[in-house]
Amino acid sequence: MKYLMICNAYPTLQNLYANSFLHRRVKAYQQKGLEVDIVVITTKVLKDKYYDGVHIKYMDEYQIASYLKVNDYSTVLFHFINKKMFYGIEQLEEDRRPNIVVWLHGFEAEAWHRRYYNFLENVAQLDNALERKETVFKPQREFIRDIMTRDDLNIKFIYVSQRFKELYVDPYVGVVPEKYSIIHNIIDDELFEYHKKSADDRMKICTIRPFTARNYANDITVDVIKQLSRKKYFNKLEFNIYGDGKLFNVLTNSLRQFDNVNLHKGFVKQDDIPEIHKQHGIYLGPSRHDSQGVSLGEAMSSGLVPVTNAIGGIPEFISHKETGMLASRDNVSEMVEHIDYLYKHARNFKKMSAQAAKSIKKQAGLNVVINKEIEVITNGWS
Amino acid sequence: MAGVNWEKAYHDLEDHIEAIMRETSDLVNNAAPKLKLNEVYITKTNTLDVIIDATGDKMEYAIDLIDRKGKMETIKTGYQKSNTFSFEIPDGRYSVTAYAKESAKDNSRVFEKISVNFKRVLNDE
Repeated sequence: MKYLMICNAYPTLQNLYANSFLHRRVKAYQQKGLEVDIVVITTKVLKDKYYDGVHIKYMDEYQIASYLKVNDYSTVLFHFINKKMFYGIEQLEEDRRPNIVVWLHGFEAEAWHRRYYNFLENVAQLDNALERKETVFKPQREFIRDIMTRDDLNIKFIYVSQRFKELYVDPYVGVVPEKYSIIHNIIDDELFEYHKKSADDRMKICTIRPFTARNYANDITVDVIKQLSRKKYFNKLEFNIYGDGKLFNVLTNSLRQFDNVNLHKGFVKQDDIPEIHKQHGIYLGPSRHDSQGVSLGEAMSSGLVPVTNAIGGIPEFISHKETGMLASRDNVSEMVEHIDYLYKHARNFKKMSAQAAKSIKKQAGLNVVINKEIEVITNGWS
Repeated sequence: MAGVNWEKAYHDLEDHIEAIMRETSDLVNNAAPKLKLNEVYITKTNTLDVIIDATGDKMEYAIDLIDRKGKMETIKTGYQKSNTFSFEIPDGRYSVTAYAKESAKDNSRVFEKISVNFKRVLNDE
């Protein structure tokens, strides 16, 4: 049986980090014996590319329609779905339509205003978002609602977390599809291998985040460090801040006064992250919006104790004082208290570190996720 | 088919909206005013007094005063922090161009050109 994945971007040698998590999936499917072809939807005319043993085709919606008419796929897998990507399926006779699995990751299935932070840089940005409300966001919502309620499709949905589904997608779309599964994004426990932490590691705090938008809440990281600087033990702590984006200098400049805060401006390759994880004990990763919190999960997998916010999907993966520390939304003082707690309770820190790694592996480890996905892709079709 | 848990979603959204409003408050309170020239006040006594009323961030002001008959050389004050100017000039017809700009922004400038028929009003009159 052959499977087709249709997505909006796929990694290539020229762009290694475009949806790299899709490639991780495809490689794992291949290892399990599933043959998966890739189509990236685009209006550009691009030659096929090969990346790490995967053949990638580039097509617009009409080419996808023609392609589906002459190629029989048992199941088509969609990531970041939109109406154009689905056009080819619509053009097939009902009895020729393949089974369909739709992954819902984030922006494609939630209200635009949930990401309001991204539109506040200037008035034009906000105006543009408001304009897109009618022309883009509303049709997308209607499209998702349509495919969730139609009975002429053999379709299943995968949400990356239960809370993402309940808090973001369900109220946005207004319906719950008949067939769905909660399957988390992969936390690659082979790449983010667990390393036992020592008591001293709790004094080494890192954060690795994009500095491109306010939802990443790096301003909270800065405020937490400033509040911690009033603690007597502050100089015993070491902070390493990694990331890149237009907000990096703006937000971190005020931290240059501290000798124990090291700023590392630049894009961090995924392969370099495990080494950073090895050198730290606490991952400070505040957030204002997350369907899962993959970077937190990766840190947990390596044995770091995450300190973050109880928002979006995050509490589904972190139990407070068991596998990490959760503060309420935007609450800097609570985050400071949590780091204070970890500083004063070295034994609990070590216990939490081990529990965090064990828990996230069980919940979203590579094999766990892939086995669940293959089950959904290959079984239970009517 | 299980339904949508509207109550749970509502409470989460309510929490989110509170954060949005805090962010909005921060933006509004820290927003720089938009550069705008509101009014140019001209008073004629024994001097020609000009006050430039403008809004903006860290303002600077300047005047070009041109004698329309060309008897007197044009006065260009250059930018200064004060918005008040006083000129001891002969009676005559002048063009006053009042400028305002924001110190931090090189390309920002607003101006207004006004014609003035100036005749000194002496104090003992």
